[in-house]
Order: sequence, then C-alpha cells, then structure tokens
Amino acid sequence: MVQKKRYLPILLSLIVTCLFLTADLHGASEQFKGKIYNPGILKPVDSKTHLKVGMKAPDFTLSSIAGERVSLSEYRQKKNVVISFVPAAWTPVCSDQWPGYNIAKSFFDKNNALLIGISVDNIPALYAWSKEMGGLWFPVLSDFYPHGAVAKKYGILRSSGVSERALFVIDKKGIIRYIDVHNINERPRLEVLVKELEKLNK
Amino acid sequence: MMNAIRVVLLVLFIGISVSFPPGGARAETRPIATGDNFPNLSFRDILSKGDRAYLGTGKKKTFSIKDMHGTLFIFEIFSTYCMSCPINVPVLNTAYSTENSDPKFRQRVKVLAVAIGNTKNEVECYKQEYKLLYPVLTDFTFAFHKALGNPRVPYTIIVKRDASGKDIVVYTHLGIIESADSLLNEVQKLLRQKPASQ
Repeated sequence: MVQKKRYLPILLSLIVTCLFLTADLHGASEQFKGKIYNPGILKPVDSKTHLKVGMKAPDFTLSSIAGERVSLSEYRQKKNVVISFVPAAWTPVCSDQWPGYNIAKSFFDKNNALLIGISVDNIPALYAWSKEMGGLWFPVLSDFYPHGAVAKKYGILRSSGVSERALFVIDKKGIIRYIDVHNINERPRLEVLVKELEKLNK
Repeated sequence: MMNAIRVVLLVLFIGISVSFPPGGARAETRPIATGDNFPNLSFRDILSKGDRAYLGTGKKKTFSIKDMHGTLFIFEIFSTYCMSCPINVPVLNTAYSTENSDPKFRQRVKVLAVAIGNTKNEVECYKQEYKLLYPVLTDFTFAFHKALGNPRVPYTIIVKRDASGKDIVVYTHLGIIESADSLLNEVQKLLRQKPASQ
C-alpha cells in the first residue's frame, strides 16, 4: 500500500503529461499563412443532439455560395448525402478538413453520395474562404440566417453561435445512418467516413 | 494524497504553458534550412517492391534516411489536407521520371515525399487521386515534421550526401515550385557543386 502511494503521483503526472503530447497541425498550408484566425483550444463538444441513427434527417433549405437554394429532400431516392458541418470559415481545422475531402471525391462517387458543407458563416465569407481553398467540389451552404437554424434543428448549435464539427451520413431514404459530433479541435479521420459510406451499399 | 494532487497540478501547469503559448497559436519554429544537417529519422512504412528498390531500402520495414541509396534526395513535405500541395505533384512527377529514366542519374537522384500527420489510408487516397509516381512515407506522429522545425507545407528540401555519408540540406523551398525545369536545373547545379571545404 505504501509503494502504491509512492508511485501514484508519478503515474498521475505521466498520464497528464501524455495528454499534452498530442501533436496537431492545422491550417499549416503555406497559402494560409497569416490568414487564419486561431480561436485556441475550445470545449470539445458543447451541445447534445437529439438525433439518433435510424431517425429521419430533418429537411432544410439553404443558400449556396453558387447562388442556388439547396434542399436536403431534393436528394431523396437519388443520392446518399453526407452533411459536413464545420464551425467557422478561416479557422485552422476547418481550413484543412474541407480541402481534404478533395481526395475523397471518388469514394463519394463510388457510393452514389453527395457531400454538402454547411457553416453558420454568411455567404460572402464562405465564398472568399472557398476561393482561397482553391474551390471545393461540393456545395457549400450558409446557415447564417436565421442564425444557425439548421445546426439547431440537428441539435449541434454551440452556445457561442457556431455549429459543432459534425458529420451526418444520410441514406437515399432520408434516414440517418451515422452521426459523428466530433471534438471541435480535431479533424475527423477520412477513413472512418469512407467506411460508413461503404456500409450504405451493403 | 495532497502531495499527489500538487504534483499533478504542477505538471498540468507546465503542460499548458508549453503546449499553449500566449496567443493560443502553436509557435512557429525555424524550419530546417540550407547548411543544416538533415535528421536521420526512421520510418516504418510498407512500401511497394518498386519503391523499396528505388530507395534501396531492401526488405526492411523500418528504415532510416541513411538506409536510402543516393547522392541527392528531393524531399517534398506535405499533408493530404493541404490545399496547395497537389499543385507540386506534376512537377515532382516530372523530376522523378526524368531522373529515373536517365542512367547517369537514376542511382544518384531520388524523389520522395513525407506526409505529415496522415494515415496510410489518407496517403493512398492522395496517391490515387493525384497519381503520384514517387514514394510517400508517413509521419503520423509528426516526429519528422518536428525534427524539420515544423515547416508550413508544401516544403521542398534537397539533401546532398557527401563522401563521408553526411546528409546536408542544400536547398529549401516553401510553397508552389515554379516549374519542373526550374527544379531540374537546381538539381543539376547541386550535383555539380563541390562540397564546401572544411
């Protein structure tokens, strides 16, 4: 018992130290130097969605940066849909995550899926950011007004007014098949999303 | 028990101070530059037979930079999440093909990339999407990136191995490479360059 007490602080220290050894590299593209706002480390998740796998995905209609009105229901019976909510334009993780989906387009095509990107930023901000990222192959929608209404419908609006970093995979029947309300400070791994997409066709 | 709590709080404080410096941003250190020694780090990657033959690492699953055969190494440091990194791929593909097809340079000049913070699956997607011809190593833990001084990406480094086997950085470039010709001209210039006298 005396030996356990001696080693306890060392063990606790090691555990705590390990928590700080997690490396990160977000927004490190040279093109973004000096242009990215770093919000610091945020509370990983700040909401609790009522939605569950197996429920119908709430429909919505939002404006895209291409000037179109896009509704989720227009893809019913046609495409599987992945909604990628990101908290904010011009921030480190978001500025990696969406360009990162450029290498995944073939997986989306193979699984008859469409990716939709949504954030609470307004259209001009999203437009400028998308251009800086070299353009994106998927529709980018603004959930600016009413502010965060779709994020709220999906139960992922944070108290600060931005959405969570969340992924929803929705099948052609409009049913939610996968939910990932991710640690806002981290980028979700691409292979996890690819696996979920591949499950849709099994 | 109070002593244990005090120790934990002290480590927490030190950890926070080191990990999150003022301003909230990860401090940018000086990236590796011309004249620096190139770190001899190890990689554990499953390379194709062709890539292993190209780099000269044989059947080793864990190998270091020193295990690679060549005189001049063109390292492209990138991330699959970097939006401008794919722009360099055609230039590097041309450099790879040009040097590899010339018997005079095939054994001497090597082109390879290191994907920082990426998984092997992400790298495979990237290779297929952008049709990379050259080998790609993975630096999932950022150890290599840290040893290079945490450069932004894409960061191109040319390393020259001298007669004693020492690897020295002879060229660096941050961002998009102007053209394949400019890179190849630089390679030829560096191959002809005599080592600095000691």
